[in-house]
Amino acid sequence: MHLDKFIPIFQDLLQRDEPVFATDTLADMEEWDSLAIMALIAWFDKNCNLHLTFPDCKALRTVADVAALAKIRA
Amino acid sequence: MFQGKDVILVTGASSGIGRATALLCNRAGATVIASGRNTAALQTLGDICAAPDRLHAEPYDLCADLNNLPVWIQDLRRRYGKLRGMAFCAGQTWNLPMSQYSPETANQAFAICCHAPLMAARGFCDRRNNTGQGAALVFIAAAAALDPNPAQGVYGAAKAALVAGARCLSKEVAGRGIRVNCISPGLVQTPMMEETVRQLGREFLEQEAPLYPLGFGNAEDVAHLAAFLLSDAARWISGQNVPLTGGR
Repeated sequence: MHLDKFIPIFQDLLQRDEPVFATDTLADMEEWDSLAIMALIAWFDKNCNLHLTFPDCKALRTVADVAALAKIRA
Repeated sequence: MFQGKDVILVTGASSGIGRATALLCNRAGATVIASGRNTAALQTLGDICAAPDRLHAEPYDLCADLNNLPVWIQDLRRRYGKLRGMAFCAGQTWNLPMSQYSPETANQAFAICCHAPLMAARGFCDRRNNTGQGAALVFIAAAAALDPNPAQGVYGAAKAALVAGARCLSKEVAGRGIRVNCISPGLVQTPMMEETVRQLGREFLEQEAPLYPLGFGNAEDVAHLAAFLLSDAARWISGQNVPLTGGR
């Protein structure tokens, strides 16, 4: 999957009206909370067979980091 | 109680509790999206409601595609604006002894009584679809969720699952100022009760009547509580399942 396809999926997981960019810092997004992290974990598990943990996700800094974790190409 | 900018979705609005709730919320000032399967019945709401300009009929079969419910809610938000409230009143009852329990039948009951309301709630609680602080959700569960009569095992289990899901949801969205509550009515004089009587006979009512000191309920009795729970008057009430059983 390419990054430009992942971005709207990530935006949807965050339930966010405003656009999301690869350079956005997760900590600056009010939607990036524990429920969003759990939704992200479930999405990666279902769609990428990738079993992330909560600490894995808390360590991420930017949207690009999320994509990189799933080996999503820029 | 409400203002015209308060958009409230009422499912199951073509009859019974949903119909009464849609009419009451409309009378109380809200803009009501009245959804149900019976198009003709929905359209008659416009003739009898207090403010026809604030009542919009939206025929929809909730169980046609459960996975599409969040998308449907998103579409309603696009057309009517962010939702202030949702009263999920659509439902159906099952009268089946546990000796006849089967996964197939239980799946049907869970689809209507649990999956549909919780998938609609998933759409409602999406940050993009509700007004945030002050938004509220009410599910019509059933007294059978707490204390099922014989032959209410499947129905009661599905409604109990709804109550548990709603309780969890209330905690997940409380931080955003969204409230989630259930109402668990006992016997209410609606078409659903008529169907139960048709299946079980009038003896059923004769057995039940003495258990209700205040008599059987009517749809408006439930609608008043639903409207209250949707309103700011209930701003400190969330995660509750309110039994409404006429003193039973």
